[in-house]
Amino acid sequence: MFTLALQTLGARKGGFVGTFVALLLGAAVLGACGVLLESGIRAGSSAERYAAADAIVTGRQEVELTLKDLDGSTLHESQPLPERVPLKASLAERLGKVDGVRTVIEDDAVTVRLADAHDRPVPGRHGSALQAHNWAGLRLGDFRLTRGHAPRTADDVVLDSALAARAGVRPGDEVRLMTTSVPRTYTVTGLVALKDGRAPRRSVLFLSDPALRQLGPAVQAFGVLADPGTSPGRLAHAINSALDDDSLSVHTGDGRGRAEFLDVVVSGSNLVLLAVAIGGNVLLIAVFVLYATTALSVRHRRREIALLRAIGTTPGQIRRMLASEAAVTALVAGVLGSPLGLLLVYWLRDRFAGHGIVPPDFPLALSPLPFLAAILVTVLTALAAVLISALRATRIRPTEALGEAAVEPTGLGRGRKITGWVLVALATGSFSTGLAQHADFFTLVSLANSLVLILVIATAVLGPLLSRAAVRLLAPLLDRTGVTGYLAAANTRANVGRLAGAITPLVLAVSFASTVVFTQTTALRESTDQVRAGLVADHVLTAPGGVSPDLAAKVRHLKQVESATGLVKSKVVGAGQLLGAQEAVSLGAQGVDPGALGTTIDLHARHGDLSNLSPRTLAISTTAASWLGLGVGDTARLHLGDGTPFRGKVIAVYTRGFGFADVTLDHDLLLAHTTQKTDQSVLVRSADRADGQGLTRALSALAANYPGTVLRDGLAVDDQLAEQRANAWVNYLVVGLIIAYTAITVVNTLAMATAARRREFALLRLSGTARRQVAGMMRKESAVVVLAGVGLGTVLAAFPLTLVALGLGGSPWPAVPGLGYLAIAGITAALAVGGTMAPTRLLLRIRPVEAIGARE
Amino acid sequence: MLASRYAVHLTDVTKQYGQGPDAVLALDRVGAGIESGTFTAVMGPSGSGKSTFLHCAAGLDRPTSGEVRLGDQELSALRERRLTELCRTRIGFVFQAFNLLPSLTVEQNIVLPLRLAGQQPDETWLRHIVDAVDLGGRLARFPAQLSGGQQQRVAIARALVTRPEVIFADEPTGALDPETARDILILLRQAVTDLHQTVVMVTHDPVAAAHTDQVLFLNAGRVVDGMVGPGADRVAEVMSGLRRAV
Repeated sequence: MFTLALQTLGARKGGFVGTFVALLLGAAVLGACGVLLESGIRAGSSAERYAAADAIVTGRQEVELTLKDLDGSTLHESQPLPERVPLKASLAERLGKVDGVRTVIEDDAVTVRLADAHDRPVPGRHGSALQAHNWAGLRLGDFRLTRGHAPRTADDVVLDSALAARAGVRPGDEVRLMTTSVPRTYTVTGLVALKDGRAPRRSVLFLSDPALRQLGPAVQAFGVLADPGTSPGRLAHAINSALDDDSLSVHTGDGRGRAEFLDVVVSGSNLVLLAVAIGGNVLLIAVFVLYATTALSVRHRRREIALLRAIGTTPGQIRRMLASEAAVTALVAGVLGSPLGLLLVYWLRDRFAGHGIVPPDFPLALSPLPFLAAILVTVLTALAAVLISALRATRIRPTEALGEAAVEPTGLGRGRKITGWVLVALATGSFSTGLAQHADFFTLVSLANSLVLILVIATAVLGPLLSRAAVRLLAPLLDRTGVTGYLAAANTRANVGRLAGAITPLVLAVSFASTVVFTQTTALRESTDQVRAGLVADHVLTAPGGVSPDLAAKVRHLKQVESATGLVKSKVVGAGQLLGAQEAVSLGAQGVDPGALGTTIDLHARHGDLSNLSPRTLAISTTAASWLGLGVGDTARLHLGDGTPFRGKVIAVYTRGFGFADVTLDHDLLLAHTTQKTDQSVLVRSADRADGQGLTRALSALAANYPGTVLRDGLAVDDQLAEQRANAWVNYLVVGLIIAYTAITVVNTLAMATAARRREFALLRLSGTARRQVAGMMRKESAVVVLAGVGLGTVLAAFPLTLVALGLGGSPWPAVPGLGYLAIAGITAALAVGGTMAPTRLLLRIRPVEAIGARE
Repeated sequence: MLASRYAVHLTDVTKQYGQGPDAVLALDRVGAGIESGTFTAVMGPSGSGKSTFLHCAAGLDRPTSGEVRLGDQELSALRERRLTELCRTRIGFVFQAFNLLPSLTVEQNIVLPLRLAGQQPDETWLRHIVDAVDLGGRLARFPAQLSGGQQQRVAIARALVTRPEVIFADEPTGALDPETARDILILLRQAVTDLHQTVVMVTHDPVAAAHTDQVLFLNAGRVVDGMVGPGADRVAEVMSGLRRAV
């Protein structure tokens, strides 16, 4: 059976092209997702500042929550922490007493912003934030002094040579450093570089230990040097058992790099989620698409299969033949798809970096494993898809081989009808559930996605019914467009099954793409509206690397100012509830000065009173309220970005969580638990009778003291929504892949269906139909396909989008940019018309007398 | 029980398509026995049930009621897979057209039933039948490179390769010109006389029927007449009588 399968593959390449391309693309995307997944899990860079330490002790960069599962059992789930977990200085003493520890070196750090002598800001490499470390910590890593001398006085600073080159300074020059206030001037006394001459991954600068202490640093890590003869592994074990503390992590080997570069680890865990989401979506569509293409190729091979049955091939042998064909196709596609996946993963990495999802130098972990897994999954997917069509194939009666024409069974079976209506009922159910529950955005989005999928599958199952309805609607119109329209109408009426097969992929493309894209545009519109409506401050101060937190206080003292607040952003972690089960959720948080909350940002309280905000209370958005299951007066148990537990009473639930953040806390409280300890911006509300120009002058004068800080009229919506835009972009990417995928099916389905009609065309031409008329007939038929497919797809997308729009803003109208819709509908329509007309033109070139005698 | 003298034996075979008022009775309690080593034609006007007769006799289709025996084996008692396996070695087929798999060569097409059964072709026998159907030089060609008559020869060779008990042919000459059709009929005749095969052929052509030993006439799902040693003229007479009766 296997050799027969191989031979069939060789002879019928055309019929397998669609399946092959779908598998190839699938293998490439799955391989790329696999690499991203592995890179995310193994995310890390080789250590630089920690490279010489035998072990590094840091706070544990994740928080473990105890959650209740659906069945009431408890489970533990870890959620990564975005902010650096600080350590207590007293830990050094306890570490020193551990067996095998020779020396303990403290690594202190504070985030600084560097400016050159002309107050021009100099960001770190790749635009990252800069950290100043204590000089004593130099011994932990591979940095060596290459020029000048160590920092001795409180005014000395040592830069890495790449940073110094970028700032245009040399030893002896002056630079300015800013932490929580106005900059201070330092003298560059020396330069350091990695001992192998490589440019460091993150720019660093060193201050003398007393100088750093003045800036209020946090203890980031303790580096441990081992006694001679103690291996790092034994050392780590000894430290772990001596300290016996869950909140600490001991890193050795490659782990030291992960301890040093938190950004890589954090983006790594985001990458894992992304890879799973993209891969899962594509796999889902792949099964659907492959099922469609294999079912189609089985249908076109009906006679061949019937002949095989008639000369004594058992149903089992037919199944094995189809399975072998699928497996071989998938294997070849998988192997050829792997290099494509490699290209794709680099492209994806760069795009992710461009949207700030990963650092620009995020290292990809390349191993054969993801590709082998992708090939395996591709083969299994192909087998799963062929299994269903093979069942249908073995039901083909051998007597069909004897008939003159391959008869296609018409009408829906009972089972199919029941399945279809069950799916419709399921869709209705989830739609009304979504309407009844004002669930949070993410629940709604997943509900919307599954709703559209159920609807598409229902369409596929009930296809002939729907296309009959479409024909009833459209055929009378066709009839009025002359003889070609009359022929087209007759064809669509007589071949409702064929029409259904052609419509389904169009419905899938249009409805899925519309749902995903317009969910994002609707969310972005809502966010933008909320930012515009909620920002009542009239002046905003921002800086690329963050604003010093004391600027807000200084602004507040200006007499033209009614109120001002620093706006700080971070994340909090809590136990959310999703459909009865608990899961760890990470929510965006903002810190605002309680005194300025109402006058700078209007969060629009639905319940409670926002003016009660204090360091012991919090306000949450409606989304967070439904997710966390909290209302006004309840006590929220959360973890701040650095893992510190926070308990506070909910004093208000507000509606503008999309534009701002889901959790609002006291400014100083949140700021203290961030790594950077800077404000994103300062929001200013001028006093009623303030002199506008005077205020602008006063604010500009203040800002001038803080290099890089600029005055703006309003909050830049783009900056405020950067994360949502990145999120939207990932969704657009998924849509792009899905469209590419369904494009294969659209073209494949239509091209195969058209190619099967060569005898019909020949007959038409022999009975006096001009070439141009046949083409016209096909154009009109494809117009029916496009109108029905795009129309139905649009209608199906309306349901999930209504859900999303209602959940977001209360209005049932989603934001549908005309151009976006035109692009989705237009691309799909163009593919459908192209897929029909290209083979038609080819077929019309064959002399009709040849075509009519031809075997199928 | 004595070994049956019939290669194929139908007893009270009824085949009904559909249910209720739309039901079509394609065979109505048909009984017939085909003796081993004979060449039989099944004839009748369109819709008389001759194709259904062939399908049921060959195990390609299951009768609604009644019994079909292939030698001693009662076919309706078998499950789909056993039935297929049995038919693949004990029954050979020749159809009107679309007989061959386009992706296989002539030789591969001929030995396909053996490969499906997991058997090695018997080289001497294979050469014998290839010579008999005069395909010696074309074994490596593909069906698309052959004429219609040559394709039918390949189909006959394929039907013979398993040394079946019965060969069923459904209008094997229907798509051929009279000259080529004659060659094919002579070939089938040779299979009966020289290779001691049993051949059952559905045809509507009295000239084709004249090559056979006996003719069964079907009308409206029943066997209405029989003729031994048929001549073309007599067959044509009976057929036109049947057509008038409809």
